[in-house]
Amino acid sequence: MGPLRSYRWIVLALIILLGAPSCLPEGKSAGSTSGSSGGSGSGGGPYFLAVADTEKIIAQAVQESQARGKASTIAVVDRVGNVLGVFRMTGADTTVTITSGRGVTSGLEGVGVPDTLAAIAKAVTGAYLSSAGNAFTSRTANQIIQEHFNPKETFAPSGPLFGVQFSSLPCSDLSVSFASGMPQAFIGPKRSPLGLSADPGGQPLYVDDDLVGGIGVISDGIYGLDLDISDVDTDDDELIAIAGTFGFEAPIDIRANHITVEGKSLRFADGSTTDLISNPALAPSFASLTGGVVGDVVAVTGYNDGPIVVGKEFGEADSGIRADISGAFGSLNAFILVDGANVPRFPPIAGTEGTGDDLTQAEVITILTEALSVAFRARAQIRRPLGSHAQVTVSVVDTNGEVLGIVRTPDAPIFGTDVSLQKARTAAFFSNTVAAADLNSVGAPISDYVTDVQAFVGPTALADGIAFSDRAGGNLARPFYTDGIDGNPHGPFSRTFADWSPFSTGLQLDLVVGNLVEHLLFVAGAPDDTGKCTGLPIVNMGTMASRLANGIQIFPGSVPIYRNGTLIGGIGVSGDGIDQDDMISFLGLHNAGVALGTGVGNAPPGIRADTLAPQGTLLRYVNCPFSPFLDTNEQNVCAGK
Amino acid sequence: MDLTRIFRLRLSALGLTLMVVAHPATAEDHDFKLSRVSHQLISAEADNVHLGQLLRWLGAHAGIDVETTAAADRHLRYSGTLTGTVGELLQQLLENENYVVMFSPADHHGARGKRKVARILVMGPAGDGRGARGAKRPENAPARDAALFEEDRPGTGGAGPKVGDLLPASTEVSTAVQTTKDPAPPGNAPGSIKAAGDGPERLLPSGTALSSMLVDPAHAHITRTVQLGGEVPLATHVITKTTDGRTLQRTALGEWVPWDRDEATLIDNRFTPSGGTLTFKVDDESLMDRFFPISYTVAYRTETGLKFGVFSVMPRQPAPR
Repeated sequence: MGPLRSYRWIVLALIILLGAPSCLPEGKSAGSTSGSSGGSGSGGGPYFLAVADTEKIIAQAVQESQARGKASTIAVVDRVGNVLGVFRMTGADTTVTITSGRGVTSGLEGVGVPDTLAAIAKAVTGAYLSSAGNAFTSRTANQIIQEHFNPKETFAPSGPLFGVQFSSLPCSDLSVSFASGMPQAFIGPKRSPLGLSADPGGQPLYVDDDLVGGIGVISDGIYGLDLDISDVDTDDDELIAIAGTFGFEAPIDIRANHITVEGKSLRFADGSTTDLISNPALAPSFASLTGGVVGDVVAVTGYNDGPIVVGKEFGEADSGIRADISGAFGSLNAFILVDGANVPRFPPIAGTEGTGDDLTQAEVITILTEALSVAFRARAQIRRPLGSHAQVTVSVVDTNGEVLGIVRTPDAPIFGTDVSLQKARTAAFFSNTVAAADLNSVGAPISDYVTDVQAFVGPTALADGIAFSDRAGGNLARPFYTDGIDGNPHGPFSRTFADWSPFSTGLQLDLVVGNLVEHLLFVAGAPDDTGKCTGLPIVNMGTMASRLANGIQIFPGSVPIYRNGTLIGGIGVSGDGIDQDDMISFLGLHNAGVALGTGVGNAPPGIRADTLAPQGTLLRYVNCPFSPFLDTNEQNVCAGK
Repeated sequence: MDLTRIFRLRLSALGLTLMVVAHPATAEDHDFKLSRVSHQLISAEADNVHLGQLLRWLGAHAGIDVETTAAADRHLRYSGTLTGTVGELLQQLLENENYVVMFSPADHHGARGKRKVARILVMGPAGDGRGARGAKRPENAPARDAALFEEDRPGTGGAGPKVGDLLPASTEVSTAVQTTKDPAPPGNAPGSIKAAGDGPERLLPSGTALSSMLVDPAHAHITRTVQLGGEVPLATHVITKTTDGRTLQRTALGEWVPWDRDEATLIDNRFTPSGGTLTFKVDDESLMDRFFPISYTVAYRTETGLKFGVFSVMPRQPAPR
């Protein structure tokens, strides 16, 4: 049996809002800002949530809460995570407890967090995991992040998005902070206060089949998940959220339960409008609910000012994501991130190492373009209708973790923006010979993971230049090694299974948990909200950050980038199935290398992590899908490359 | 406005940092005395003493250097007699506070075999009762947190705490939360405050993360003061980055020009030391069109090379309405 780690960290957290977010005067928010020509019912777009829409959504949810005898906190966000409104019903818990229900006491388990943050995280999850081609909920997330897929299905591998809950974190250098009165105030993608949520009660919101946002509800005092999906729950949070979506429902055909992964149907919700006690069509006016008797809107430090605001129309510059007009990506329908002045964020730039092997700007453009080209040809796993191409975000970084470029397809789910960057950095970092030293410099318990992985994989692990894709690193981050095999010991980046939960993953969480706690303090009133994601050392004067400036990711979709055998960066892809993400990163890089002819490409096969067999089981490098393309019948497209 | 002060306490021997808060006008009007009861036990008598002072004293007992910084507090005073180990006293002092503790329990590899408090964050007074659903509240803390200072090494049978073992690096105690809600806090520079701890920080050859700052974006006058530790800067530098990935450096005239990341091309800003510290003028303009957070590097060159630190700036937000 491999080394055991009873548990690494315990977080005992007693969080209270010192002075709860103040309520607004009666009626202040209602009708203060109305959608222009858009919003629901405008027909033909533009598509966004007008103030009246958000008020209606909240009123419908409040009515259902009352019918269920619940006091809820309800958040509505737009597609890029702007918090449009948070409504707390009188008597609602202002602090909710994180728990998986597995009896684990480490990690974030047992931490008390503000109700508002839980509701926002659930709303963000509904919005971020969805797109015009797939409608996922926080219940869907619950299904795909646990130790087995499906949960409790023994000897089945872990969920395909194992670890995604720790993305779009407050400390991410990609995700945007709300800054009242500033041009960036409503630029996305916004951060999520607790990462993504697996607690049912987070739903996407649609107008005319276009994704416009999400709703999140917390009413039960628990920010948790569902360990057993073999039954059908009656979950108040979820049903209240469903009431809120009335008139803004996800198109039936793209809902998660119409999408399969590995032959298994995904879960959308354990209820529908037919399970509601109230009739959303008869919901009272929002104005009649405010003022404190029923509840009121609240301001949440770092997320909104209080009054309900209009949502941004996705794809326009003021949403922070728009079409690229530079022409850098040729004829591809590429989208990019922009700031509040419509200046591109993360345009292609050259590597910053100054070693002579650095990626050039032209090479970065080629890598991004080739990866996008693969995505536009790839048969999507998680999208409807069948025959759609994949929709993803692609990130390229150098060995310092500096972003050299980010580009996306038009309808890529927002969650993949931050995740693709996490993946790129993770691959570049774990393939770097300085990885062990960087982690050791943080001290315990982070350095203990180095000890463990070197005992598990070999004494030079993370210091010998072995090329780690995220799939390979993820193999080592599961509570069972080999993945999914019950009773096996845990991987060296994971806690023991007895001490593991989605709120207590191991290295991934331990790297960022300090910042998460800092963020809770910030929301409670502390002034500091710009802490670094991890305690890793700053690379140099120019980078101003560590190599892991938005945390790590532990599910597949990235590979390191080499030039003639020398590590020079990483590419990360996120937004579709993990095999598709793998293929787009690996094959995109390969194709770029062929096109460039400058020695740039994938790791030499001899140094890839799939040459390692810790504990007798080979690690995996990438796994590309069957019949991957829409325009050819090619198979085994990654073989031999 | 309630001007206040944060005391930043540094356990030099253990690398432990405690950060507490006290009122400046009364920070020194305490009355307490210390006595050693046994090898492990100590006793402290306090009469209307700020919690910050007590925590600072406890830190000093364990070999702590104390730095004072500025922030706010309004409520934390303590009277009575405390007896126990340093760990127990800390626990008693903290039990009525709202705090977060992170620690590493026993490591099965056996190398360390004991609990390690990694961090304590004290947020201030407890709230107003248990939530309707029984959500965890601060007043429930003592029972569960009793384990905080207990050793978890097999074979020790839960022997008395050994604070030297139990409180490792990076522990922090902060009570600055409530008062920082003041929308117009004092600052060490016009239009800006430091987020945590205003004792001048030191730059390092490997770089250091300096505390972040909040500024009025319309009138940002960002300066940064660092301790020199007797060093004489040969040149001083300020660097920032833009949204679109460019790296800029400040000239001596306060202009921003591209920097190619070559240390040899850094421009000397000619800031001069004063009283053992060095103050960098970082930015002095409207930041209304900037994208936050803005990161800056401040650096100086010595005969042995560059030393630098990095900090971030966010716009100060209006108080919630």
